[in-house]
Amino acid sequence: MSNNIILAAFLCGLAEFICYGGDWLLGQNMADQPIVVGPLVGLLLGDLQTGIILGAMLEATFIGAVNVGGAVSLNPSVATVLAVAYAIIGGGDTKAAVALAIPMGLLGGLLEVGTYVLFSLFQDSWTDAADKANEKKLIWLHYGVWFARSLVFFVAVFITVVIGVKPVAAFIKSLPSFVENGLGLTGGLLPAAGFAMLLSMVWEKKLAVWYFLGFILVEYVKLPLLAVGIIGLVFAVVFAFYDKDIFDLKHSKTDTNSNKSASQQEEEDFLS
Amino acid sequence: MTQESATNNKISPTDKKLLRKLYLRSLTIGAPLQYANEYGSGFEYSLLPFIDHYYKNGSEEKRQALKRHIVFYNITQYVGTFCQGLVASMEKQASQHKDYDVSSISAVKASLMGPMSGIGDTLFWGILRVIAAGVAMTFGMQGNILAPFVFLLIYNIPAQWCRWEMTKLGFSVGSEYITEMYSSGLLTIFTKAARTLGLIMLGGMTSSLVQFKTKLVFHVGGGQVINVQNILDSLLKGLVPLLITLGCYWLIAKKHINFTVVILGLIIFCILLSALGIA
Amino acid sequence: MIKELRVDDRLIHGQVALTWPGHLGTSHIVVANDAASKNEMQQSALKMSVQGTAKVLVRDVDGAIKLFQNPKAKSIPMFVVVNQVKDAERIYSGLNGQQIERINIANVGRFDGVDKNLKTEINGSILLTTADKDAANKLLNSGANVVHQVIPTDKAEKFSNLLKE
Repeated sequence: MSNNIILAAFLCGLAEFICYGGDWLLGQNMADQPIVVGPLVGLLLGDLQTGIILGAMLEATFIGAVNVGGAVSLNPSVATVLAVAYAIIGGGDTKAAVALAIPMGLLGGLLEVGTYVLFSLFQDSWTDAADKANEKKLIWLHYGVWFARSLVFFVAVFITVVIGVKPVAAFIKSLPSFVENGLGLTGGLLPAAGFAMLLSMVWEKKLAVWYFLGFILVEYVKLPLLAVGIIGLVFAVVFAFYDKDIFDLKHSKTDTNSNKSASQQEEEDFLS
Repeated sequence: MTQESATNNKISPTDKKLLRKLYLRSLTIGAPLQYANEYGSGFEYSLLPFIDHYYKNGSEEKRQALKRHIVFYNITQYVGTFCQGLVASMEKQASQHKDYDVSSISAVKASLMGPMSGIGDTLFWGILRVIAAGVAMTFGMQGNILAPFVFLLIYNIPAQWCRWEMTKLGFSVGSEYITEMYSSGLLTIFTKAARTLGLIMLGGMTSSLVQFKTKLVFHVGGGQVINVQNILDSLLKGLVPLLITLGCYWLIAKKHINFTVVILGLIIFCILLSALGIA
Repeated sequence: MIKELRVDDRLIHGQVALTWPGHLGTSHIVVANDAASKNEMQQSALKMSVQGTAKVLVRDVDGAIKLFQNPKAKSIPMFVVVNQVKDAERIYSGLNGQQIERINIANVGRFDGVDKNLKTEINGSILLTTADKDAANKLLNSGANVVHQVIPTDKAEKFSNLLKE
């Protein structure tokens, strides 16, 4: 029994290493996203279906967890590995697993910040290697730090699974039923926060109607998301050509009636 | 035209080989990410083939070039290769002309960092990833094993292609290109089109993934029952999910509430709804 | 009217472009930087970074001061970005401390190429040269409202408190 949990924990750590480390080693290919992590953990723990479905559910939750400008909030890969492990090893309910993923993602985010601070200590070695034109050392540091920080995640996940999954599963089972039911609801509502985060990146007053179009196309017309994407692409292309024409028209006009210096014109435009 | 000037500047076979190396190495740019230099180590590592080829081994110039780049650097990596290619061409010139002003190299890097990340983050994190996830989730929810593959392909084909095109562009057309892109209005138009697509996808995903149904019923006299969900549906289907999403948007964008706080708030909100028997 | 005069070594970047204008309620950004005003590519890059959500004007520091003195400019809420404390001080004294609601020293000196050992590290995002420090002290002595706040969700810290530590 205890051997089993250690093997499972090792496999979870391995999945974390492959997905998190692999994402950073190979061009930020998004292998650390739940939709990829979920199936891999599922496969390794022998329940592929649960992994795929939980991965998709968690993708919806974590889609807003973007770390723009170095501000890490939630770590999606840690969250996904632990949530899938809880569902498969701990026999937990998938809905509770989604809710559990949030605090796990927070801890993962803290760990990530911790590694960023920790490995900053190597800056002097980097500077020194460059100063001595020691290219071998530069390359060694480059991959060495990658390996070390991926290893930190491997170890963290391994330990958490060994000591945490079963007690947490027992704890969640002991919760009153209204809490369990409430946690179940989060699967349906947490994506709202993710979409809100993304909306704050792309929202523009004049473009907001498109959001409602997308909503109606799925809610009432019942189109699959792939079809919505293609319709969106058509609209985007059509309007881009219009915009290009308008832009060219505007600029051919301003070119003809400017006898002021470009800099003055610019300033007037700015203050108008 | 931009396209013509791009092809006019033919890249020599040697440089093309070096650029391919730069491209492959740039894939690892985030590998040793930390706060001290962020992608600085990766920038240096990607540039090594150029520095090795154009600077004489053991020369002071080479040492200076190596020192120049082991500093803070961060641009969204799928577009950042533009900056890397541009710097490669500048380093090549610097190695060939003794009087080259090398301080302009660092200045160009610093000035590109902010603007390019602003665009790169929105396009790739905010839009392409959402589209890839939106399509793949449909497979995933049904337990279809295609989900991760669909996701990775839809995301990486454009992203890594863009990385390569940007590598070549940065090297061959140099700094005028940015000016051209901007003054031809192409970039603004492209960004707007991408946002349009992103917003439609987000609307669709709000409808299919944000879910809420109330259990609330009112018993009025004579065994009559009013089902609140039916009333809500008759107003607008999916009204509550839509309002909750827009409410979160308001909190994040207008009230600057941290994303994590909003998530935790939603969890508490759900437990409350359950405790009160509303859902 | 200048809602905020921000010192940021990267001038406009993702954070600045996407979060601050909305927070400050302004759609006019002025970049006051001598080098950028002469470099056309940098100007284009800076304008690109706001992705059409705000108007951007790039001027050298003296040109920017002149612009702020334009009567039209006084009624427009503006967000001004410089990349060193010295420039902020120049603008402040150029306007005799008028019109500026707040000076925010957010990020300074992380990649100006000056040896780290010659600078005072206030925190991870502020590394001051002696010239920067003098300029900051000058600002504080003339009674300017100087704070440190990297992103809108951070708490604004009094810069005088940071200097003391």
